[in-house]
Amino acid sequence: MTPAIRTENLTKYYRSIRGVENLDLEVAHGEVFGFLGPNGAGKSTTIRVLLDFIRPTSGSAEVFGLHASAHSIEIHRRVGYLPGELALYDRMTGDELLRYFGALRGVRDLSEARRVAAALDLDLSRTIRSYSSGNRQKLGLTQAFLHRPELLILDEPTSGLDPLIQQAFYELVNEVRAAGRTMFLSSHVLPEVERIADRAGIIRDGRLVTVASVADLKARARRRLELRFGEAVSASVFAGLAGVHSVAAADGGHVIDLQVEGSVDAVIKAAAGYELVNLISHDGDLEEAFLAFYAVPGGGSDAE
Amino acid sequence: MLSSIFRKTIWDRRRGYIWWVLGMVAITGITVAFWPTLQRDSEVLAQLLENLPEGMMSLFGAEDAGAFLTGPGYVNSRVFASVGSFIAIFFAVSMGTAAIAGEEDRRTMDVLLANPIPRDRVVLETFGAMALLTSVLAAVVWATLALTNPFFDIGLPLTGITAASIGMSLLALSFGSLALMIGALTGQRSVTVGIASGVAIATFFINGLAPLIDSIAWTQKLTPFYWLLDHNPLKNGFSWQLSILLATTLLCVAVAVWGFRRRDVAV
Repeated sequence: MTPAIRTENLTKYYRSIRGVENLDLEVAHGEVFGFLGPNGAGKSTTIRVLLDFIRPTSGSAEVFGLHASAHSIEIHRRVGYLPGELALYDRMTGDELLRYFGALRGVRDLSEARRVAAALDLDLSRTIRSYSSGNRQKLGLTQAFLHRPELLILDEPTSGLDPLIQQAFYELVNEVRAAGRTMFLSSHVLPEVERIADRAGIIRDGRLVTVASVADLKARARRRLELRFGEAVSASVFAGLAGVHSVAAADGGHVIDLQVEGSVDAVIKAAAGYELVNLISHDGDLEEAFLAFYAVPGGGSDAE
Repeated sequence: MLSSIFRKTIWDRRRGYIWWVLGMVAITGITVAFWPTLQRDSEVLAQLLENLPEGMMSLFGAEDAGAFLTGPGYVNSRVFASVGSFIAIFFAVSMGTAAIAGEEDRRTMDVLLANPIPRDRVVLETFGAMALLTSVLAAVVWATLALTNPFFDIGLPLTGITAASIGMSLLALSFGSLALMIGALTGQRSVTVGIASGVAIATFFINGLAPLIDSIAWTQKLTPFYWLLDHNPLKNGFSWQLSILLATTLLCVAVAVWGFRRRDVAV
């Protein structure tokens, strides 16, 4: 089956500024794909090529097997899009915006849009000017769902949404998945992708670093171990072991904190030579996988 | 109302447009209302005008003081060769700017183009809306003059009023579509407003002042103002010269379509 999205060697430069380089990406029908990377990595550039707002410097982009530029109208008919830099017509009400875009799409029945707006708890009778940024984001999402598209391309969908509404959005994602529709969403929020995506691609400095199932990414992730000993232990005991990073001793050597990639076997065997009081494993989440790919020294929880 | 880009573009103007209309009625109406006074004191005025520098007269579309003191000459210099046309021009430029550059400046172009609409249609439908509303402004001038002309005994021929009003809207649309074109090529609002209104003002002065200097007199023919004012449509009616303005407009729109089709849309 033709993939929903395929790019081959996709490269985009804005004059001399790098957008993306040699990006090979494939998103299958019916999957929820997370496109992960920090701001400025090239996520929006990729998405805007898919929608023909910008043209690649070299390489190709296809949606539903159609050339992104030559068949942009057909593609737009079948795609719902939420821009990353969302702006809407300030002087319209939410309802007017939906009617306008409905008319441009030839969709008269706005029941799907109203259903999504209700699920996101959005008041459509007010003018967009009076909306908070969260409400604007909700309206942006609503218009993307308006025509029940077979592919949703959402650039940073949950930015500005409070946790309760994010929950409502995740439920919409589950509906999309259950209906066999496809979703391509970009994010720099890691737990989000971990939570809703089937597969994820990680992009850094315009290059695709890896594509893997979320389960694989988690397995590959570094996990953090905290070992508490009944005696003082030198950090050097662990520092040389295979797959071990960032060893730090605390509490006069009674606590060793380290990160380990893959198997913990070597660490446990080394620790067994001492009086091990407690062992805490911080389960690898995508955030840690992510930090590993970015090799942020002593990386914290901030994904920005 | 919000069923197409054309209609939405008109909808965008629903609040401000009435002020443009009232401004146009006011400038035309006041001009007409002063005609009787002007006629009564024509000798004093003639003397005053004799003393004005030649450039002043030329700038406001009168060949000499005598022309200014005829009904058509007077209305032409006040409405079509100056304030009235400028109202229409700045209105058209504001719509031409909003069409592409304004939409990109407000960052709404992405969501608009995500709909299944060719880029050409954004250019053509916004141009259509600009053409309609600019023509209505000119029609307001036409109606004001046609209604008041008999009462104030100005002596404007009806075909003259019609030709000059249509000419005014074509003049304004030349500059409006210039703005549309620059916006389609650059996507930058301030650049678009700056160039389009700069060109409007510069060509106005070139048309008025270039004839005074023999060596550059020909540059007058490069200005849209020349093609409206040279044949004095208010007095003489229609001329082929107006088609130059139409051609300029259509050329700008064609370049706008071509330019917007091929370039990257700004974030």
